Amino acid sequence: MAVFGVYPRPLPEVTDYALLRILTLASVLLGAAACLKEEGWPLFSWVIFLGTPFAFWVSWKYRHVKNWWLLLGLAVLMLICLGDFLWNLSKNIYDPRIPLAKLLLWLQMLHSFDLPARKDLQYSILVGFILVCIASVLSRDNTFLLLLVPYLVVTCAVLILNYLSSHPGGEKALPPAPALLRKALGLSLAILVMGIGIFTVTPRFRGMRIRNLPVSFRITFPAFYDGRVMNPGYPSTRDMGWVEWKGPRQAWGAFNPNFYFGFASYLDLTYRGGLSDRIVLKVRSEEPTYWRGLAFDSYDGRGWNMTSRDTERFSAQDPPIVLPQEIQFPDSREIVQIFYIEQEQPNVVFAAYEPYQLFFPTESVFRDPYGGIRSPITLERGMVYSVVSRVQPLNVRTLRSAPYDIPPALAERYLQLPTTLPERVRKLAALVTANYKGLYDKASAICFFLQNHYPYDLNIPPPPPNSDAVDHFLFEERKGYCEQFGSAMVVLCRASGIPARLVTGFASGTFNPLTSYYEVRGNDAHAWVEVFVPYHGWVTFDPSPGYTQNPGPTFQKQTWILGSVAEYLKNALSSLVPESLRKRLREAWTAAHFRFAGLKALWVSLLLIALALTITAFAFGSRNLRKGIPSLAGLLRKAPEDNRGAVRKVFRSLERYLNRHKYPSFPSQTPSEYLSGIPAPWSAVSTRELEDIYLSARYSDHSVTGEDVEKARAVLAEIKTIRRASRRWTLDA
Amino acid sequence: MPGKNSFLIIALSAFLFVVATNIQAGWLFVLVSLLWGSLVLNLFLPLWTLRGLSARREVAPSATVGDRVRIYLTLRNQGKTARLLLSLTDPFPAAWGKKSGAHFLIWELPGAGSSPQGWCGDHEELCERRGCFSFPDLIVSCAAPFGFFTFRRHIPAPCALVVYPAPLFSRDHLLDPSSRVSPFSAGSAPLRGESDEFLGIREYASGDSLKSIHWASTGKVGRLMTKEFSRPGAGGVALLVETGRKLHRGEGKDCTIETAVRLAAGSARDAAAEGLSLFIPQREGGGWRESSFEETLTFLASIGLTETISVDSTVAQDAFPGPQCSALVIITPQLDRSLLGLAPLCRRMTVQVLLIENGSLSPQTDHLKESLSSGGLRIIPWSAEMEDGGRGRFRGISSTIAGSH
Repeated sequence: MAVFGVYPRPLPEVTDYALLRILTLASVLLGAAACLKEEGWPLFSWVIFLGTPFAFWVSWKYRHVKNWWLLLGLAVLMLICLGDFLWNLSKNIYDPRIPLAKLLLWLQMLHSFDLPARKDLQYSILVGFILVCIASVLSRDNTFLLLLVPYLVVTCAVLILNYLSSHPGGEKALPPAPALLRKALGLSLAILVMGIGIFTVTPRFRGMRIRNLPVSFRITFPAFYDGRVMNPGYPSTRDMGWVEWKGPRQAWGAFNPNFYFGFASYLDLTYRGGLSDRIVLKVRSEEPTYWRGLAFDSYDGRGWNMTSRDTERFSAQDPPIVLPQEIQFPDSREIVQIFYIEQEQPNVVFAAYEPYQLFFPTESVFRDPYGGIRSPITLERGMVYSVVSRVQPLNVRTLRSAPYDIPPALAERYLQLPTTLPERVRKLAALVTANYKGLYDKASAICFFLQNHYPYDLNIPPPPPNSDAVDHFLFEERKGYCEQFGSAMVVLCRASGIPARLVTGFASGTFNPLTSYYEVRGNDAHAWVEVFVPYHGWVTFDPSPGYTQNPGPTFQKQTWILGSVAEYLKNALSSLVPESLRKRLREAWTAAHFRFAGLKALWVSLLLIALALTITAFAFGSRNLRKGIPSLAGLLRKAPEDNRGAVRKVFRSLERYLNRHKYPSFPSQTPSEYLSGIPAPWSAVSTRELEDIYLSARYSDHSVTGEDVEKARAVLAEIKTIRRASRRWTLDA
Repeated sequence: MPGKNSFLIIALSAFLFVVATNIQAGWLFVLVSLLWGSLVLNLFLPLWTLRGLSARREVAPSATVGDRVRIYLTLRNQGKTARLLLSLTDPFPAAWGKKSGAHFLIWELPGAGSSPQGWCGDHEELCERRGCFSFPDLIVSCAAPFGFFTFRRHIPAPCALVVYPAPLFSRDHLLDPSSRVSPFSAGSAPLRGESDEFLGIREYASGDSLKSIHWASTGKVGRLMTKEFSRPGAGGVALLVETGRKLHRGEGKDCTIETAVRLAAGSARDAAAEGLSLFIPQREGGGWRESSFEETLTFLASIGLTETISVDSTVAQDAFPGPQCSALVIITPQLDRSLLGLAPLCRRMTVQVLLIENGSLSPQTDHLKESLSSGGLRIIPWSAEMEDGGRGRFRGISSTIAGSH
């Protein structure tokens, strides 16, 4: 390295802490690994993992010299990296996170060639932290924790060393590496515990103010697409040249657990089967709501169909694609959602109703007359799209006072019922809604009726061939799942003169408090109901038991994560329970919930009161009460030595020992008599001292010291030793 | 006390919280929580760490200006759990002359019952100023583990140190035992000849008067030999350092009182070497009291311009030393007419005035007049007057001490 030249004077702040450099390197590498993992381990990963340690070694070796040529080269390389970043950014300006992470990784590696001073190492620590921050933004699963914990430990050690090295006397106090890492481990554990505590009690405020929402790279789509639904799980819809299903369900083939049969132009209520538990979507949203897919208007006694096949095309050269709304309510609010496709899905664009702006990889999307958005291509794994929806807050008072003023066209479409519908269904509808006048109240009554009189059950047989599916559910089977509940509500609503339609999509899914993603699984596919309320639009109802009657965002300013953490932990733990047992427990819970629905509130109230009383007693209880509660330290503290008890114990041990060797003790014997009659070979041991100590401990008030106990034990040990020795001697002989 | 890093972390965590809220990034919330967790830990760990600590400081009871003293520190942890990253500061007394104290960083302070018990350290300091120093409390601070917040606690570790003034000797000092003119010749004027008893002949030592050389023995032995005389057995020396604020000049270490004190210390050492008892003025109530050599040095170490010891007050109160004193040594920076009031005293004891002027000292004005006048010295006219006045045993002196000592 002839190009290296010596500094004209010693560098002022060159640090010689090798351990600090090693730990800084580890911290940077962990940050880089976290980032590269989220990027899917790109090809340049190995350059980073090999280049960064080499750069640290170079900077360590030549920390006292300065190389202008190297610095010049690094500057040029950094400029090239910047150019690459700008080039990548220009290709997709809506998601700069990955190009930024890439830029930072390269810059950190190049910067690592010149780290003479402590301040340079501090910059490296900061860059490592930024990389972890970027990775935390990109991460969508819990595996991030596997890198976060070691990063925390290493960073703790680095920060301690950094603090020590900044101190004038730090060199003398520098601990050995194992001691440092041990302390860092303990500290990081403490930080982790505190961090979890803080994490659970920190409120989450409404955010998502960003408008450059992430979206995948632009994808071109086939020109012949005409806006129809394509479900990869039921290939006949695709392979048959987009011919719509018109015949019996067998035309679609067998039930596919990976794809929901409700994402099609016809929803067959006779399909049976359980959907997969795999995560299919991950949604980042401010609030949980239903991710709406398709809506159906026509019921034929066996399933649901879409009367209109027309779709409207919306295009935009650059995102977002704006979807104009027919009615714009002044009090509607925006909800931003980002969808990450984890498993291939139909070409249905899921979004909270009603989507307004769409950041989608294709140039055009299609909207059906029922508000469903369709993509020209199926949603492939890894695809990302974002939606801004306008949702009208639920105002029950306004809804209840809404007049019965339904447009004729809408009434014609959404009050349709098959002529074959049994009369008892209409009678039931009239019976349920008899005491209610308003449209919203009637719909609520039907929803409440279904939720509280029919249990949820996924294992029901298909209805008989010539029966009406809804009638069979309401009067014969009397249990079912979401499609049955939704269909029944729509039919009952229509029978009561309330415009309604069946909607399919996904429930909000499980909120993962660590990633803040709603993890939507295959079995979160759901069907619910939309009821038209004049001057308000379509209001969501969910008649399935265990679901909220009017699901949707609550627009709270802040939410608490604690409930979500508990829910997530419950789900995580339940996943450890075998499926069969889980199923039985679920059934038992559903039955109990159904039977004791009224008692639920009472139990919860009682539990809450008990909890509040306990907390109050602990926090503000009287001194006596607090005294009465043993502290953990007190419980763990070793009990004081009971010397008298110990001496008695020794004596009893002696008795047991000699009893085993044919010298029993009798109740009539005094301790002195017993000890004086000990036979050979133990008679050689003087038991006088033990006798005195035992009598003193047993019958006198004299204090017994620990020394006495030791003496007594010594006598016992001596007796046992003699026996062993004699046994050995016997054997030898 | 929050450090600059704490503000950085707080600002960074607030920024990240805003970002996390804006993009609803869950792991970023976790990171922010960990940052806050580290802040909370860094807030409470020092508070816990500083509990149950005791300290001890040990130092030699006395030293002389110019000496290096070693201060031994012991810090003990009364608790069972080890404490981390303690910073110990041993602050100097206010008058010590240094602002910052000695600093130590302790990585781990083991708990009670573990080995080693506590932490021991020491530091060496140069005594630059005389004085009676009482060391302040030790300051133990903790910013564990990352230095975001620093908390301090004062732990008492009482300790005192007397720094004696460095004695100032002059080769021509009147208290020089080999001086021909001894001011301590009891009951007689020094100029009338020596009355000491001849003890024997010893080898010449540096500083011995040339006049005491025993030439005959020198000739025989081949080395310089000198006559040794016994010192007077009775009598004591009273030391009076002028502390009048108006008379002294200079600031701090350059103040003339420092020279005066050093001269007094030199005189005290000479007198003690001669076996003479020492007398110092009492701070309260006037009068004089006999003191040991250490007491005298302690008195001189603590003396300052705030004292009310002065020739003026002594003369005004007629608080002259008693008959047990055979000599009075007055060290003053300036000549004052109040010295004239000492004239009656000169009849019963030797009064020696060491005049500090421009850092100069002269044991014998007449003797130095010619030799030192070229060195810019001012000859004191009134001292000559005093001598001319026939009161004989009073001397005003001025000489150069710089350079030769």
